[in-house]
Amino acid sequence: MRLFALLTLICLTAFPAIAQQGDRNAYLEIFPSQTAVEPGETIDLAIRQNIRDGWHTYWYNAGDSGEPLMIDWTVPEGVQIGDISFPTPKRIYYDPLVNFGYEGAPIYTQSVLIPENYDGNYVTLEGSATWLVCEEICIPEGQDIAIKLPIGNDGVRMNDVIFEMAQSDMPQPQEWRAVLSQSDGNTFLTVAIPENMRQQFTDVEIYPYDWGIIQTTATIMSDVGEEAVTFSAAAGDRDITTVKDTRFVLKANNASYEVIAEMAALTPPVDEPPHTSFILMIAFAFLGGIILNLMPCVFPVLSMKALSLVKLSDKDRKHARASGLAYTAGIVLSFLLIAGLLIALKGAGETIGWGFQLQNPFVVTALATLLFVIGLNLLGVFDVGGKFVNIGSKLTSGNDARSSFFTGALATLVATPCTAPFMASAIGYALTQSAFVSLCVFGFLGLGLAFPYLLLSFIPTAQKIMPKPGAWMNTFKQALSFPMFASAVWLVWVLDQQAGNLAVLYVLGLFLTIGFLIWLFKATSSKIWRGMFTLILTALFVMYASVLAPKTESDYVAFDSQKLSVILKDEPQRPVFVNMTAAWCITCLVNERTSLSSDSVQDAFDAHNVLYLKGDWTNRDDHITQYLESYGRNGVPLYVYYGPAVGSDARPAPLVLPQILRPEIVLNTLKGENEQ
Amino acid sequence: MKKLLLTSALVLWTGTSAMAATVGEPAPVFTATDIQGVEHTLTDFRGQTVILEWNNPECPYVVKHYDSGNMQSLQAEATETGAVWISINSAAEGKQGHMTAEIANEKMSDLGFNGSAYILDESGEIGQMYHAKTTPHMYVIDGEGTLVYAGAIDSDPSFKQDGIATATNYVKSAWEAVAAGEEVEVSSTQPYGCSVKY
Repeated sequence: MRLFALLTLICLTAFPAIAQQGDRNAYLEIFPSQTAVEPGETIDLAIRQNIRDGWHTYWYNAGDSGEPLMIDWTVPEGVQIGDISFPTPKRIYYDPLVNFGYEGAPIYTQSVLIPENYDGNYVTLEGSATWLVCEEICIPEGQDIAIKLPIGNDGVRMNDVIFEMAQSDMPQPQEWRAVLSQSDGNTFLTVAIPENMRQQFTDVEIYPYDWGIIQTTATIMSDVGEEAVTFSAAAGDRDITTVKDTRFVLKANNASYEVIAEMAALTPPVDEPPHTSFILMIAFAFLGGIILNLMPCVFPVLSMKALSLVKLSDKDRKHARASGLAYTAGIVLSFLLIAGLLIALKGAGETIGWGFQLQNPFVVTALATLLFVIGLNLLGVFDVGGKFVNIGSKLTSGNDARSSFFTGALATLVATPCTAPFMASAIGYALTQSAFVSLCVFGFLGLGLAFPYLLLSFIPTAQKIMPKPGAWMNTFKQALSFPMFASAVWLVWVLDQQAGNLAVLYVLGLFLTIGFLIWLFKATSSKIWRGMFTLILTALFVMYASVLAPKTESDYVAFDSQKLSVILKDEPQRPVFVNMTAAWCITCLVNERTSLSSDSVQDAFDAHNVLYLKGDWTNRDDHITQYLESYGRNGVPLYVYYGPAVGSDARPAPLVLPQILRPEIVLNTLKGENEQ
Repeated sequence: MKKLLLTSALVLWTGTSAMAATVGEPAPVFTATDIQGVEHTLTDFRGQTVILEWNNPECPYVVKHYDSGNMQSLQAEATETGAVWISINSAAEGKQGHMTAEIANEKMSDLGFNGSAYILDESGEIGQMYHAKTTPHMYVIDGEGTLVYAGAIDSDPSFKQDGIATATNYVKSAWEAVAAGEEVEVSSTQPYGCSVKY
């Protein structure tokens, strides 16, 4: 307010309205373009803002901060005053911010229309101007301005020098077509600059009149094209769809131009997918299916199936065809089954895609185990006669068609983990189509997967190109076990992401047990031994299921010795439970699972408002080591309970709990019944 | 493994803290000690609406809202409804508006500050995390930690007090929309004021 009191110099004259600087950092002078103005005529005003050295004022769009010159005019009825025209600004850097503005003496212009019916000898325009002027600090300033213009038809041009200067600093309006668009976090401004001028725009400054179109700090890239120049820069904070037509100043080569940009059509016109694209989609699905045969988890299945053809004699041709058809049917039906399930689930509102099966750790475990077992089978560790898991089963066996059908189903099953990462997006697209189209796509995918084997079983010449049977087949079969193991390894890694490292431990334990059982079955025929170990395997499965059951994430705070001492001192009423653990400490994990993370203990923690601090010693941590040492330990687990203070007494001595916990031990400790 | 991925994600995230806080995305999480010595972490306030005000008591635009009492009454109104109001001063040492905690305490109590906390961010870390450009520059974060409003305090980008009464207060509209479980209508505006004195 103090400032406004200073700003009361009014000059009622037709000649330069000069305010004095005083202790202001900027002041305005007004210059009319003519000595007198006729009713019905327009006269221009030049408004020069004289800014103190080292200070700056702001353009129409101030950039990251600031406020431009504003003039609130009071005029006689009918007199119209146009918007202020701002001269081309410059960038004023104020790391990390950038402002658009002026130093020195920018000249603004404004036009005044005197109505035809204006009656009087003078027209007096009074305005209240405000602006922000900044050095590093900012000061809002203002000035009351006024100008008195004689009315008459004898006016002549005046203040030409000022107006020429003003003109040379104003951006030149251009009719160039300009289109604004945004994608991937960048704003693009395409301007149809005439060919002979385009090369000047390789190094350009761009000033948008509207805020938030481009980042003020962004580097402008120019791309001189055949028809236009496209400028790109990092997009600003604004959703540009809220902008309609917007103006830009382009400054290049010491000249500046103004263009009005229209928004690019929001969505480019999309043609309805023609009929052929459906066929194309089917074709791609078919091709994709063929490629699937080369995936590490499918290739061995196909290979073994194909190798069995090598041994065929002529009379088995009929069998071969039946087998090929059954295999194809197995694959296609399995694919359709999965697709149908997927479509049904999507219809029910589930947000799932292809490979959704793999989101379930049980499925991942089962697949990993299956791949491991198939690998062992290929390696020749065991041979299961007649069962569909035996990929190498003889085609000549009696239930050959059924066996082939299930081999197809198996191929689909083992293919899923491989397809998920590769084909997810393509199949995701198919799923956005109608159910019929989706099913077609999946069907053809299956057909593609089955195709190479189908081909071999139907075309005798194709069979001829198969190499001669021999000892190499066994070696080849063994080699094929490794892609299977590789797929299993990958799935175990997936499991780690899904269910944590404990699940990995269990699944590897499962592999070990399976390996052991296979060895046992080969080594002994004792029913007792076999029965006993089958029981152990089942038990392991059950335990495993409990591991994968959704974990109730216990509410703990990461151990911090400082925090601990603060709480112990400042909140004596609050019990504290410290759990020192590590991922490689099985006892710790078992204790957590059975006791600390159990609902009863977690509820009791909540009820007693226990601060549960958990220190993870999986990696080296000096603070935890020190803490362990203070309790005479050099390893985990360590459980310490700090009971609450009773009344005004100090806290009781901390209680160290046993290394093997049961929920009751923790619960009794919380109740103060553990007198250990 | 999961933890490792998470940690590297966090490291990456901090590495790109120059990225602006984006409306509709999770608000950048910061931990800072206020002028009373209390430590705050943005995640402490899950379930509550959090309003961030970039402050510099010497900026004329900030003066506009404090001299008129507008900011203090907004602070009172917001905190009464259970929201948390944190004012952050990112002025660097030696720059206008930089204060020690002691002076800040004195200054803010003189002004009748009604917010929940006043944080001195002289390193400019939090300011740059949010791309705070002006004082005031306002942010509203919902109970889930999503940034729902960023921009000006109201629709009158001037340093004059007369406009306050008739201006639309975007911050108030935003926290009221959050309280009513509605979408914030105007979620992004151009902030106005002095530049933050980084």
